[in-house]
Amino acid sequence: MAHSIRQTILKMLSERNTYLSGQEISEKLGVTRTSIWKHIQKLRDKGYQIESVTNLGYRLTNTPNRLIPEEIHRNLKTTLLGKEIVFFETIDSTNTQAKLKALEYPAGTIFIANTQTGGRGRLGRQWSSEPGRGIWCTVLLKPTLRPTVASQFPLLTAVAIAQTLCKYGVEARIKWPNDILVHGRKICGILTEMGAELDRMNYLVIGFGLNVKQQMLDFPTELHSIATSVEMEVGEQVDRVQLICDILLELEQKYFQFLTEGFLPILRLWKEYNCTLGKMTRVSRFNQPPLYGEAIDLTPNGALVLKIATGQLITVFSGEIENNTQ
Amino acid sequence: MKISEIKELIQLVNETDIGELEIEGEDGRLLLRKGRVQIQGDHNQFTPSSAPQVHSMPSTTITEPAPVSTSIAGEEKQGKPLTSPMVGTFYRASRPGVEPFIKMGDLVQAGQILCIIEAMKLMNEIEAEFAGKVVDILVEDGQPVEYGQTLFLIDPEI
Repeated sequence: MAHSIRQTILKMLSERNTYLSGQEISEKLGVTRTSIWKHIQKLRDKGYQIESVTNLGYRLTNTPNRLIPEEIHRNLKTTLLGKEIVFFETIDSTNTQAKLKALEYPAGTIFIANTQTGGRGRLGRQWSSEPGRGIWCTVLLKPTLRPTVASQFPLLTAVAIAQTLCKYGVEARIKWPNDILVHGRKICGILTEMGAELDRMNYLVIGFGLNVKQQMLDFPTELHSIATSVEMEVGEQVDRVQLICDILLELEQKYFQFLTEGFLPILRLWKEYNCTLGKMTRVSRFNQPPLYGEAIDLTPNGALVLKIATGQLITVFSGEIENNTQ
Repeated sequence: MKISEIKELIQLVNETDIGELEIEGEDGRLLLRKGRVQIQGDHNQFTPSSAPQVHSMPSTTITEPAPVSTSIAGEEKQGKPLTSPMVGTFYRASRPGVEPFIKMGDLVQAGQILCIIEAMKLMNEIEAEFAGKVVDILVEDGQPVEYGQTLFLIDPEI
């Protein structure tokens, strides 16, 4: 309750260019002026600069340039995603936390961290999560769908993020199934995990790590030639709060579209944004020999169709894609 | 036996005058009988139907698999099959080079993670539906699996 009052005060302040009197807030929210003063103090502790002038009231003069729930709530235009936000200053992995708390929190909850100590990708690969530089976020969903369609969500998420990045002027392309690259360098990784029974999804956690404010030297040396960030691409400052709000809105719209229209429209967009099809490709696989061939299409479910040297078509469900010609 | 193979058999039986077909193989026994459902242990319950019914003995449906036995090198293994809920790649450990989730002979609890099935980077942790002893692991680490394919045999009796 205290949290939502603070959120409302913040919203009132940010919608007002001039002073907002304590009296006005008090009347609107039905709380005492002392209580309002306490909430204002809390907001100041979080980095909001709020000027207070006797007989005039309060005025918001600056907002913290931080990815915190207050700032996301203030800018978010979704109806489901991010309505509840779990924030960690430092955490092992937002996906791990979302899975642990999946049954406790409602669908749409997002888990974000300023930094992750154990950010991970596919097959336990490490993900570098520089403090305050990127968006490290996991979305919890609980669709009443068969588990067999869950593997379309990684592609759906990639489409939503690539589309959003393109609106920011980033030439984002999707590498099958869901890596987001800019001129061959990775800008965003997605890891989707599911808890399910044979015929029913219990929950789906979609984690994405998006490099936003890193400059080259912020990345570990081994990533210098293969990683990039939104600011490196556009050459100007980008507001992480606005970016996460835009991504969540796009992701929500794609999710609702998927629920009503199915995967086909998403698949069409995926093909529009992809950088995998039509290329000679090597697919490396765990405990299996790699496959070589031309990536010719996706199946209606999003699996990769590879045409190998013999002309035979092979459907690939998992593996790392490497292109010989970028 | 794959679902697609069973479907094919049903079609074949349906096109003939054969009333009943029973097949016994390494992975169990399948009984197709036209026109009625036979429920094991209750022979008086018949449901009329024009299509042949599938029986995986002695259970009554194929989605709830019956105990099967595999015979490898003369050794008979009894247990309830745990099947894959999706097409994908089977992993025995959370990442390469670490201990597998379970080994042969392990006692598992209901809800315990047994393996991961991956498709298009969606990682699905498969949990044990019931407690028991792992009597067989039927898929190699990193191998592709089909929907409904048996991954493990778990003996709930132990």
